[in-house]
Amino acid sequence: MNEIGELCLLLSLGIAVYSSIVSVLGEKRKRKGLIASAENSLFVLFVLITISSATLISAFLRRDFSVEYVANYSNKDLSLFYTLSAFWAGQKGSLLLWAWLLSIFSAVVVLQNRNKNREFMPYVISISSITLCLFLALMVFASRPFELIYPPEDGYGLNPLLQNPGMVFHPPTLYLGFVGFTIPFAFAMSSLLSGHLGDTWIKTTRRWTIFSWFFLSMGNLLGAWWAYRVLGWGGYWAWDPVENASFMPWLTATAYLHSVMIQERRDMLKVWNMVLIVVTFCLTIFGTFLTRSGVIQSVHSFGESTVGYYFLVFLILTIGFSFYLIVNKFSLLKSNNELDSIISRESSFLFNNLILVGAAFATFWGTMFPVISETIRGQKLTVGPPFFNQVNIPIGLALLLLIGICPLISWKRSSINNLKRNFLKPFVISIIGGIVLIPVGIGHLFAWLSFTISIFVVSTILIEFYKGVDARRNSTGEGFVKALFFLTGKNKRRYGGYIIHIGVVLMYVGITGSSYNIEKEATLKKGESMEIGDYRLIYKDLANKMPIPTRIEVIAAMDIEKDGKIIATAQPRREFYKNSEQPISRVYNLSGLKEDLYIILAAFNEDNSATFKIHVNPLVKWLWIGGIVIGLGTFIAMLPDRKEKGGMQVIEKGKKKTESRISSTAYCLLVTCFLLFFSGSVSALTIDEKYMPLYDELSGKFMCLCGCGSLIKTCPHQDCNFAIPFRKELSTRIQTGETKEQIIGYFVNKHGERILSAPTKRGFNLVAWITPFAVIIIVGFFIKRIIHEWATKGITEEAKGSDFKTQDSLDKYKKILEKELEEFER
Amino acid sequence: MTLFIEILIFISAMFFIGYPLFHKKGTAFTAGSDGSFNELIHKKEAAYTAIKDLDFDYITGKLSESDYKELKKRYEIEALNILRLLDEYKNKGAVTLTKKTGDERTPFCPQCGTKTKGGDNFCFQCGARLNSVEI
Repeated sequence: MNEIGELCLLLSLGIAVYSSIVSVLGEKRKRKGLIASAENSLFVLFVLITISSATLISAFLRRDFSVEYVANYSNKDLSLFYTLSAFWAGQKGSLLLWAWLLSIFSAVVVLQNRNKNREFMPYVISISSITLCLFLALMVFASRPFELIYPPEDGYGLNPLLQNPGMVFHPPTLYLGFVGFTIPFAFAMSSLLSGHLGDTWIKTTRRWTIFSWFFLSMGNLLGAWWAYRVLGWGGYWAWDPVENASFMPWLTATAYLHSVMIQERRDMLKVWNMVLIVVTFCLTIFGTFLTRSGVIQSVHSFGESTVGYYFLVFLILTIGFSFYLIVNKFSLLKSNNELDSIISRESSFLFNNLILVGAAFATFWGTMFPVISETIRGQKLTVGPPFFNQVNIPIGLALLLLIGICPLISWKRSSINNLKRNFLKPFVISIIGGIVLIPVGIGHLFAWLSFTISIFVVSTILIEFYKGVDARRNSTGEGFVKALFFLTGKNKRRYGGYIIHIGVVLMYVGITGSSYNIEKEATLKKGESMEIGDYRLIYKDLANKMPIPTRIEVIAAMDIEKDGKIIATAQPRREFYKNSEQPISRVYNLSGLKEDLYIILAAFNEDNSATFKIHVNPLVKWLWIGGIVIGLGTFIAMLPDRKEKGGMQVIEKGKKKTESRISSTAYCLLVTCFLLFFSGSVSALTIDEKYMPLYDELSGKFMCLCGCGSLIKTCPHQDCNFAIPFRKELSTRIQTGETKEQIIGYFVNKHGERILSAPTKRGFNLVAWITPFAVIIIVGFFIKRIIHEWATKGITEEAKGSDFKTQDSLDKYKKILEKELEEFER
Repeated sequence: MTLFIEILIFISAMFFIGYPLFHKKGTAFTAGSDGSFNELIHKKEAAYTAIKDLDFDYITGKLSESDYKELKKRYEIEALNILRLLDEYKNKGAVTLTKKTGDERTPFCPQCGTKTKGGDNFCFQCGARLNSVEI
């Protein structure tokens, strides 16, 4: 059986090489047969890789431990659900999944474009095939999924951390996003190669881009959700290099989604859009490289392997090739850049791009700075969460502000008077909101700003909806709901986009809540209680259970009391697995709209006393709700248009296309529903209360060096042999009255500079802090100058009414225009 | 058994890929025509989007009346021009089509009525010039 899977991969590699060459050859020699053969190759690739994947799945289901991958990632006790998800639990399966998705997407693209975009297809086929070659070559030469071993009695089992619904859906969702960007990239490159440099590639790949963007967003969010529920350190985002690696393409993709709107309307920024899609695609590959190469330490690392270097080579070739093409066609890509006015939606979008790409750069810079520092100074250091938070918070707030401002500025040209009028209402509302929120804001300036700007953004968007509905009601006389429905239906992209923005604001609210997190740790005897926030927790009982032979669970029972009433019984657990040294904490999370009560059973002793780590995390739920709203907005933006426009070029069967769109949008909805469904639901340290603030501050300043990539404060390993002694030593030093500086100095001497969670703000390390802001500011000035230049150039009046021979013909076209505009949807 | 399946997979893959090589001769789609037509369609969409944006921004009070009128006029003219170009393009396409069918039909000499062979420029009976559509 397994040989079939292996053979299919080998055969696929051959075919992928064949189709990548033959399709271009067919175009050069103008031979239809060759191109058709290459197209068929992609279908064959899809079938072969599907067979291969099916073989691996069947090996898992048959518990065929003679396959090394199956033996390493499953065992006899594993439930069916997790046995299926073990497919992508390791590197080999992930590569296969990636290749499988790419083969599906490529086949769909060929189907979609049987009768159109023929000038692009040879190159699109070639580029998808080359990308497939990479993954197939890896699976044939470096990391064989069907590698055989002498079958052991039982498999090693799936890492218990991965036995969670979040982990089942997070990787494939993220991969859907990553792989999806191959398609717009392939079209962009083929537009360069074929010399058709207009908008066609952008329009053709618009839905692919939104589709991929959506899955990238959801993949990241599901990862965050998993980290929150499973890793048990009370947070959801740790600025781990791999998290950054999937965050960066999201940022550049978001920038791309916005900047193409200008090209669609203005026929400008062609080079910039090309660069953005190339960068996005490269960042998806870069992320994989980071995960697989072990260049940078991360919880996600699959251990060092040679696989990373295949990606590096591919990455360098891709960058070299794409930028060579862009430079080569630069003169053709140069567009007539002109703006009607300095103040316009177009120019505000340029700044939105600056901020998004700036955030991506800051994240990249922070991720790579340890490598830079080591190369230049030979000094190993760490760039951890404090750096990313401090750098990205101001950038993020600027972005939030722009989300509010952009919709207020009209396309083409805005007059100051109109601006004043439009800004007035949201501005007043947010000022009132800001004043109301002052008590919340004391000591939390950034949080206060974030809430106030959020109010501003939400009110601008709601006013936008209201104005649109109002205008429609005035012209049609419809009721409010009906007008809202049709307005959104006729402008799906606009209002879908606004809804996505609301989702983003909700996520900001959720993230901002983390400024108010409270955390407490206590060892309790049965019957004892502790207080945190508005809650009183009474420790009741400790019990053992052994549901399956390979797992033992220790469950603590705790009554949660709020306002004198018991509202729930918490059951945080610790699970011990036969094959895993690390016990796993199953967090108990009482989630509400206001805050989450998050209880971890950190340790227990023979006398039945137990140590609990309790977090009260305000507003976290809004992060997940924001995700759902984003899903809803994407769903609306991707709904098929009622009527396909564009005239003759669409010879294909419109129905089929609509069906495939409906199914892809339906899948988006499914993922959203999934989020909705799931969103509902150490030895103790003794330290004097008065030293607690200092302890909190300092434990956030040091990095845990166990390899987890987290802070000393948040290391997820309950029995970490680095963090636990470190915490003890830290608390001792604090209580003997050493000053902050002394303590920091002591630990830096002991472990080197890399113990610090963020680079110091002096000397060479200052470069780390200043560069992102400096780059953004300098580029910002540059953009301002460009806008000024483009706006003062004025619009060249190409179009003259006099081109029409007779008044009759002009009237005829006017009628057509009127009729088509009526039906035009976007 | 496994070997048999493997051979079957191999042969069917090869057949499916190789088939078009022998049965789809002829030249590839010429890029030019299809491409520039698409570009025009997209330009039209861009102009329509611009007009819709203007309407919307005006109704929601983001654009002053004078700006609106001026800009709208400009983009309407642009859209009209594109519509005209599209029409011309379609007509041109029709002309190309007529030529093709004209070549395939075997016409009769306009002068003497003799049946002519396709591709001839002059009537072999009377020597009169045969009709050819000028493009």
